[in-house]
Amino acid sequence: MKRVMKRLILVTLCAILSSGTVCAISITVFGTWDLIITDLDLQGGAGDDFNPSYESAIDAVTVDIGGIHPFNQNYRVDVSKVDSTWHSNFHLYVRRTSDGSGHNSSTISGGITYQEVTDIDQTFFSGLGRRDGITIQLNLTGVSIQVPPDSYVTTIYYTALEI
Amino acid sequence: MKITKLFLLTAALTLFLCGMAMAQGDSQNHNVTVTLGEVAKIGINGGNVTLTFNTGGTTPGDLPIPVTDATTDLRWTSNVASGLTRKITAALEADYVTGIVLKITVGAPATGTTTGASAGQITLSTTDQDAFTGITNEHCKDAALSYEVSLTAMVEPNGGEMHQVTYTLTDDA
Repeated sequence: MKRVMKRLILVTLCAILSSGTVCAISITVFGTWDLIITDLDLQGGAGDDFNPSYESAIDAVTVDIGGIHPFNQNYRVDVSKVDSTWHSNFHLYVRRTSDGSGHNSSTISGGITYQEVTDIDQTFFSGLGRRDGITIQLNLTGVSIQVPPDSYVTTIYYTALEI
Repeated sequence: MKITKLFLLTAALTLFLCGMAMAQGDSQNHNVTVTLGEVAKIGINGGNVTLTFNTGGTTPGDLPIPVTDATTDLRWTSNVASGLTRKITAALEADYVTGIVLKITVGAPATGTTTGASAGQITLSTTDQDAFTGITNEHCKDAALSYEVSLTAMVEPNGGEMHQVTYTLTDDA
């Protein structure tokens, strides 16, 4: 009887420990976007406005989804931003430009067309199982000569949730 | 029987803890920095201007009547930090001989909206003079340049005295 109980407790502890390892999703974000706009970005020259929109490199940001089962756990990634010194004319968009890599049975979907990043969390993309190297591209619109020269900063948050 | 209960209890505990872990998420971030540089670009549409006194219309005893030209225009793109303004100044690289006076007017731009205003007609010299002031964040085109040359005294026929007029978009002091 005692032996059975000991084994049961041991199995339970292992299950708890393994559940903690398997269930805690993690997201890792690499990269950033530093955009410098100068008079070289005028549409034509003197008398013309800036080009209104700018696009980052196709892989400016890379996202890894980890800490979950390789192909047996659904997740969702939300995106939002917190402005530091941002201009109200600016609009920032993100899109997913690759699926990244993972187990053959893992999947990823959504987020392949530009969506505006706002101050409120919105679903960006979702998937099944761990995934590495998901590339993200950013787009900025609303640039004009009306915006005073300055350095404008916002922080984009990517939040991974198991679903 | 007791073992079965214990097993169910521990299984439920495991699922509960796992569920707690599942309810948690993870978040990471990165910055987006947009550095918008200062721009002060000015350009002239049209080429050199030639003003020739026409003695045919001059009344004997009077000076030749002034000659005008409005074939050129200015365009500019400017942005400045809040509270600051820019202006357009004009100057000759060298004075004409005494007796020849060159005046210019920078008109309001026909394309684009400006916060600035023309200083009206100014007489050019080798010193920068304000021709258009109060410029902030704007891109404007087709601001007519009106030249007028006149004589305050008769001068020798010169066969053409050419000087360069420089327009500068600069910060207001």
